[in-house]
Amino acid sequence: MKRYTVVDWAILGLVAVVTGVIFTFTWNVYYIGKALGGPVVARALSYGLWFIGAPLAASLIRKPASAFLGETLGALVETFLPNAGGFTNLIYGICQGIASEVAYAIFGYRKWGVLQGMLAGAFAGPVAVALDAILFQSLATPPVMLAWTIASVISGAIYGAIVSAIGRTVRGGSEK
Amino acid sequence: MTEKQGSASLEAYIEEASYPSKRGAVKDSFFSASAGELTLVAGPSGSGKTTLLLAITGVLKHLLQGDVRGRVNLAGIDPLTEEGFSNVPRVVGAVMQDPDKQLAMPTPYDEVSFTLENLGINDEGKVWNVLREYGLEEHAFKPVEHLSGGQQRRLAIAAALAHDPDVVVLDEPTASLDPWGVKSLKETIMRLLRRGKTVVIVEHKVRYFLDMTSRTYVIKDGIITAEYRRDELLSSEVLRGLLMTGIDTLPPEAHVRDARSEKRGGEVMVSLSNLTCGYGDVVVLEDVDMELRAGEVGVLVGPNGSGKTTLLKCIAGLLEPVDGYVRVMGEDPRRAGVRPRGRLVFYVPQIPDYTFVSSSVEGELREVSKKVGVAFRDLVSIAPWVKDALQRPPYRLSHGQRRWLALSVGIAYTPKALLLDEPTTGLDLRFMSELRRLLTKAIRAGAAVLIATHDPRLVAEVADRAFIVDSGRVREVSVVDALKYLEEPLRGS
Amino acid sequence: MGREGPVDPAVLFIYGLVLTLVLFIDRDALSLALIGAPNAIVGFALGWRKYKVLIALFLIGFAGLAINALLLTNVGPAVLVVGPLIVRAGAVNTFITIGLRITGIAGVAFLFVSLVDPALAVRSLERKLRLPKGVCFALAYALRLIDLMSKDLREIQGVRVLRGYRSVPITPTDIKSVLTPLLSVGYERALWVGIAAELRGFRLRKVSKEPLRIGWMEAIVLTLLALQILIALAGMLGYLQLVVPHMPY
Repeated sequence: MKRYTVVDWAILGLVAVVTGVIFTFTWNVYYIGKALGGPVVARALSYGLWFIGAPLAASLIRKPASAFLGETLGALVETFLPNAGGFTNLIYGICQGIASEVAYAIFGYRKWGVLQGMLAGAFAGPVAVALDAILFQSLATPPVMLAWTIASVISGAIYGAIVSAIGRTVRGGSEK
Repeated sequence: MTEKQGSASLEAYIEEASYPSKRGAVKDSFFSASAGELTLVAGPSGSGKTTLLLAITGVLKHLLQGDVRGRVNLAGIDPLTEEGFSNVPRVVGAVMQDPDKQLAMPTPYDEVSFTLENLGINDEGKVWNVLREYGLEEHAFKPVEHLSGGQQRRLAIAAALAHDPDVVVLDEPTASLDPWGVKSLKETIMRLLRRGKTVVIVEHKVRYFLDMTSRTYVIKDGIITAEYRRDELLSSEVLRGLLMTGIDTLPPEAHVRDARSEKRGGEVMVSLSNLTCGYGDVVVLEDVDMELRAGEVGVLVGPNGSGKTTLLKCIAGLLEPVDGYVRVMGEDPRRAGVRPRGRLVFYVPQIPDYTFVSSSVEGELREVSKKVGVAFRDLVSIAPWVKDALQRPPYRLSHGQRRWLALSVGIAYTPKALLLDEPTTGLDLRFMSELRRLLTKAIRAGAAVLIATHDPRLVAEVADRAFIVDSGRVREVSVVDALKYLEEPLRGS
Repeated sequence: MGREGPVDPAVLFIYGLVLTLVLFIDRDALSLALIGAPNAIVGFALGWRKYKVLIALFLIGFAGLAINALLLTNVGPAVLVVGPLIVRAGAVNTFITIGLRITGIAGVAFLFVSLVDPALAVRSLERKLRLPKGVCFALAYALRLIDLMSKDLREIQGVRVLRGYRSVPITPTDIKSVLTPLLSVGYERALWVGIAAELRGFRLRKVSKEPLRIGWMEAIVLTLLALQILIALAGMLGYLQLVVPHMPY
């Protein structure tokens, strides 16, 4: 297994703060979406943004566990930034991070491209919806759940693809 | 000073140093440095100065997966072996270019104790001693971003040298530093030399250290080509020779243009009246009055944090004036009918990357073409290298090219007021002539230009008018007086 | 130690994390009330001065919760009739259970952020909870970056306005063109910060492990935590019941 260097840890710090801040910003997208198009549209628009820590970290660091760490540390930073979600962020982050990690594991940790990023985002979707089902129990009726799941998978895939493309641009053929 | 020369505590021969993606960034270079002496490695941007530092400290080989062939003796340690590399921090303190690129912890206290803890020193008293030595004691628990630029720079040095290493290396320490910062840096270096430290600086602004350096190496295209002793360096022939390669060796007065344009008396483009600006409740500048006409280049000089950037942002309408007004060609930029606003006033930030919106140079130029109606073909032809870089992300261009592209984007909007924040930071003299060419272009299109800078060279070369920004006020002075103001802290140090 | 505040940050971290997990899985309204209400009162009271806006936003969110409850779970016997609107027991039940849960979670969150300086929390995580040094370095660096990167973001937004683009990103394309410069500047910095940290001996770093500080305050916090876990267990196993003479349903 490739060791993590201090540069990798610094990049994880960067990913954590970007995603932590975006997570906080995502609440606004979520509320706007909800006002305009109801909860399903709100989730389709915003859910994927909650999953970007994993594909972003993975596409920048390209080592095993980077997806998991990116999502988890982002969530931990979000916990330290005050918001009403508090430690639930961490619970979501860990579970979503594990799901996203699978997307890179099934390619034997050899590919870190846009396709893998898309899958990483998509895989986090059902996990997030399952956690929502526990948090919101009776609100989560089966038809609603189905719609949420589909919306979150699509949204996760879209944002996963976008941030992996960004990761590729940023990392590029960097010489240093 | 040569008689004080000690034994070489750093000796390096780099046969070849390569990044994973770039072979031979440094080749066939030898240099040595002695205790109690300042050794300078001078070279223009992109000459391999920084690579040399990364190579001799083992970072290139062991952290960046590069390849280094050669031999290095760093205070008895061989950084090119894995074990030697682990011990490098015990003997070396390295200060990088920019506080943003080395301060890793949320507060000064954490920053200093991070170094000490790494080296097994868990001693709160020691942390406080170091903070006290660098005048940061009362800011120990302040968030780093709330420190002034000068304090951040001191913290970077304090954190790198907290464990009192024998060898100190500094990478372009004067980049983005105001003259007062340069003065305090030189005092710190003097103190280190008196304590017998080996100090190595890589820099293109050689002139700041001419009075202190014992030995100067010149690096060009990755190869150390010359070595000068102190007395040799002071000959004007050598200084001029270095200047030709982009290394800044002369005092700025030498660059004041012979035929300084008289005020061209164009239309008033920027007019500030009774302007007070700041952030929320914090007033940064008060009662600013200024008029700048088409064709004029004004410069704002003053210490870090005096409000130069705030003023530029206020003129660009990115900050609401607390009081008074800003007019650009008679219009309030915040409510101007001109769309996009960049056609009226354009602000190019110090970090050029902030300007870009696309992930390729081509995309960037096409966006500009779409917004301002200039043909894409014309934009491509503005510089010879652009055609070959079209598919590259703008973020992956060299630092100079990024600056150049950001400035060109701004100029393509043909703004009536063009505002630049520190456009020469970290760039050598070759960029200066490019910058002059670009400014001429903007001026021909009818712009007034206002530049915030610490760089005396820039003031000497381009300014028609100068303003000192200090203690919350702005006052106009002659260009020569602005130069004196910038040079004064450095005299007699 | 004065900087650490009245309670060991590591103890508060454990309290926050464990209690949030408990609230997350507890499905019994009565125990949720017994746990959620006190935490919310203390948390909101402590956090009110600094986090007014966030708390207000959170409270406004209850309107959304009520609407969702009415739309999705308005079943069972009617409880309340307001003009044409019949509120049924299902909706009331949903509103109360979920409301208590998220209030409790938010209360714990504000309690934690009001009492703990994040930088010290990270120190504590490394020294007392023994998280790997790399993880703690990443977290500390993230905390340092929050201010720096909000500055970056403001600059990027400013130039976008001048260039004629939306400053607040809405579409995925907007988000991409804001994130790319932000990350690109950040990536270059991270690289140098990593190099600087390595040269400052990160590889050699070994912090002295410290035990949790267990004084009176910590003992009280941990006891309260244990008590609340017991209440939740009792609630979920059906040992807790509220006896009200005339239950509406």
